[in-house]
Amino acid sequence: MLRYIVKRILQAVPLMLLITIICFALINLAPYDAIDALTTPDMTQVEIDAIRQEYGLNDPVPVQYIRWLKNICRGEFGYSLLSHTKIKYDLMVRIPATIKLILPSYLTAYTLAIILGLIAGSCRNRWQDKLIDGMCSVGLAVPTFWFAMIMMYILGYKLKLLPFIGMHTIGKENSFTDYIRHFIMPYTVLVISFLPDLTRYVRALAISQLKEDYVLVQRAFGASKYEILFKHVARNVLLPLVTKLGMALPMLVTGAVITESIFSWPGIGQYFLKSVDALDYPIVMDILVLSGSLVIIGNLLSDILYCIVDPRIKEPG
Amino acid sequence: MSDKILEVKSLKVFFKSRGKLVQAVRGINIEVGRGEIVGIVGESGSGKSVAVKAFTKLLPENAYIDADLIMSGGKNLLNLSEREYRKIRGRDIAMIFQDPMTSLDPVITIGRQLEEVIVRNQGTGRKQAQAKALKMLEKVGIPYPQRCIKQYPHELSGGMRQRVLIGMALACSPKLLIADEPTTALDVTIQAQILDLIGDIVGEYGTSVILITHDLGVVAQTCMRVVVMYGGLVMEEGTVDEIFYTPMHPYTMALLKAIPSIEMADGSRLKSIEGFPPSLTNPPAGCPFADRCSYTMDICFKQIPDIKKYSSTHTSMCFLKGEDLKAAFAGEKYGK
Repeated sequence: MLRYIVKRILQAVPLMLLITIICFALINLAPYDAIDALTTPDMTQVEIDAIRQEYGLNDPVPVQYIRWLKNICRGEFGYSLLSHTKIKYDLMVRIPATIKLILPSYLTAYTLAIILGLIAGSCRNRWQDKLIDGMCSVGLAVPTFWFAMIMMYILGYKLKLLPFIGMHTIGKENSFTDYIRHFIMPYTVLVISFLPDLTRYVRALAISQLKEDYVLVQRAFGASKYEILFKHVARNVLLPLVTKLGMALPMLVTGAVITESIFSWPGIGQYFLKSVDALDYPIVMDILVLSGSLVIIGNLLSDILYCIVDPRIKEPG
Repeated sequence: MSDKILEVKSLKVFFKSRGKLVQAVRGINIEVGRGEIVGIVGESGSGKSVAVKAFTKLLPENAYIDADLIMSGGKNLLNLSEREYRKIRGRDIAMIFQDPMTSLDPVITIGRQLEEVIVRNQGTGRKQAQAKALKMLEKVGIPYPQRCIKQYPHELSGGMRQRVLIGMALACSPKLLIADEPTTALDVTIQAQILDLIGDIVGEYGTSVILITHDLGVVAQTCMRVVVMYGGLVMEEGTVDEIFYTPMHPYTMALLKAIPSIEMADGSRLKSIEGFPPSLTNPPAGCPFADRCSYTMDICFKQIPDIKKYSSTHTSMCFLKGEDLKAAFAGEKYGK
């Protein structure tokens, strides 16, 4: 088991390197000169060249890459081109804000999906299933931003029930109720956006599990439908779902780009969108590397989780 | 025979599939006495599995069961609700299936699965159930029951899993055990062991057994009575001796001839029954076997023959008279 984990981590290292190379290369290939963000039109060429020299932009690309990589490894994420603040500090404020939004919504959606999916799967083709599956279709078809704006319009603007911008009201940063009031709408939007996909997945798993022989055997031994569903099918369905949980890890960073920017939630998605807009390339690169790494870590995590929870996988190759 | 564990009269089972009606079982009578082992034989698609699943109402939702009578242990099963039926399953009628590899829940230990069944059907506590589970595993010949209860199904071989399932079935001392091709998925040496095990346990507990198989060798080895099914109907029924030594139906004869024997000459071909079983969506008006039978008469295609009685245990469904059949079969050779 330990050997397997170590092996998987070692395998992940070259992959991470590859991600940094791709990020760096893509940004370098972009038809844009980083120097433009630092200069003003009234600077002379000599001044511009001096700045270019100072920032190391005259060095060959591989040298620049190595320098950047070294800094990242030291936890030094550089400075924003626009605000000249340390990106590290920005991230340290924004990542928790995003997690506070995404984690509860994803877990809610996950739990609801298990319940709804199992119900739909076990009542296949009956009204319960048709209702749940139909709602999923609608949910999949509705764009997040549209739904978010409808909510804002009705709950925020028309009924004036909830605030629709930001995370706190200024001056009430420590009030929990104020936070919850801000939290409800983006949370609901995210739950609704995560739910249909997960529910469908659980439903499909439940349907395939219910076709298994052991279900018939359990019935032959007098088990009721509910016993079979919750004691046997649920367990077998949860195994592949664990994988989904690991894969959802990168969502903690990039899961709510649209929702965050619509609700002006001060999270990382909004930060990312703004920096892409402004071509603040150090931030773009950092976030790309971060989410790329989380994909790898998430996969690693779900593999490890899977072999802990599934008795059939003991010593995977 | 006086003490009937199961009595079924004119059982019919239909499936509705894409607007078509599939007549899987078209009116059969079956009786099982206490401690009796009854074999049901027939080709694939003859309706044998469907018939026994109908006894326990384990058919898919598109199945319709119609019968005059299904009695088990003094209860008429036709009038039971699904809830009451659950109490029959596992307690009165237990069932083991064809493929032991997929019959156990893969993510729960053997011990827990056995305990669950015991707790559910006998209402004992966990502790007692665990002790009982151990005892059952020992009884069905699992070498290390202590270790086995902590194992997951994938850690056992097919034969071992079938033993576990037999143990599970017998843990609640059912009156009737239905074994739906219990050895088809196992290799021949294991097959013999499993059949012996079933035979032994039946002797010990006095459980009746319905054994479904398409292997006549298995029938000869284990059963007391045989029911030959074809096209959703019972073609012939009798004791093992009657069926094997004085078959009274051309289909039974054809099956018997298809058994390969060791004395067969080198290079001789295996005998088979030419043609295919009839379509059950559109069953023939006459005898279902008429198309493939070598003794067909005109009447065979027009109506289903009546059941003829040859002894108190031996019945057959064929237009040919007893003497004619005997004369026709006199020259046939097959491994008895």
